[in-house]
Amino acid sequence: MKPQHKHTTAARFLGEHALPSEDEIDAMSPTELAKFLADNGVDVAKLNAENPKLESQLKGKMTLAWAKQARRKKAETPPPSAPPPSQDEMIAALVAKYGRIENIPLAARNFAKMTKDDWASLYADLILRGK
Amino acid sequence: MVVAKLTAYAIIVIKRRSGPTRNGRLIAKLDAKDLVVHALSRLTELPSLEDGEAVYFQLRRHIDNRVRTIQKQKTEPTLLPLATEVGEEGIEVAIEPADENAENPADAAEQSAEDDFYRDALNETKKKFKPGGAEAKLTDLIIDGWRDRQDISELMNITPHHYDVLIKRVGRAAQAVKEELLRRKTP
Repeated sequence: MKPQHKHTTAARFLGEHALPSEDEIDAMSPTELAKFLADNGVDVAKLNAENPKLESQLKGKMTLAWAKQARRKKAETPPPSAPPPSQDEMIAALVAKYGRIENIPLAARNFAKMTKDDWASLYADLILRGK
Repeated sequence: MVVAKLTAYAIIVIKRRSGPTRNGRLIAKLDAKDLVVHALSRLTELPSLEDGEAVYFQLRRHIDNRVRTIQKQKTEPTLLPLATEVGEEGIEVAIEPADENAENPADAAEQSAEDDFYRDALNETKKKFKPGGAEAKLTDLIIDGWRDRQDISELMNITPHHYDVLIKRVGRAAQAVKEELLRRKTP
């Protein structure tokens, strides 16, 4: 605290104790709230008359914001990926591309011992990535 | 009920942030209901909305942000003296600018005027109570920088509960004097 501003900080500290806190406002009954507003120069009757309009505006804004949020979430979600092909489908795709299994690149010809994962790797390299 | 609570919240934000400075006087003239309507207009820009309570807190933040922006806006731009001098070979070179983080004299003058305003307000507040009474003593202790409830209670030889009653009474009087002075001194 700068000593030359001690009155400013003191007045602000006192001001904090003069006003209701956010929680105190939330805990006010409708009668207490109306009294607080009236004491502070708010035309409560006018505010009550305008309340339905403002609250309906609030509901409208919330509906709009929710719709926007739902749209944004939908746009951010990636499209569902297709189920992985079965081993037979992978072999069929390879045969369709290379004619016969023997035409598959040499490194991949040991297919008699190939597991499903090996086929999936071969399928990914030769069909999906088009090597 | 929501609009009424938000209006009450806007009132306390205006009262807290109003003051004798140029921006503080602008805040004092704000209308609480206009702040609520403005906060509603900002609602569509929310990144996410989870439930009614979150919306209520978001609206309160919009109200506070709006007033804080006015309070913090620069009234006078910070001017840096820039000049050139002739160097060794007759070439004009720029002189090092002054420290741009140095306190702006205009801001310092405004803070000093603000403190004078609050000194007068606190003197007026003390006059509302018995001279030399507990309220005046409490005001002096707070001006001297005391803030802790327990410390002040011990220094004044009162119970913490008595302190709570006193601080509320003195706080309300100080707030009322501040508002009265602002009304009187606002052109």
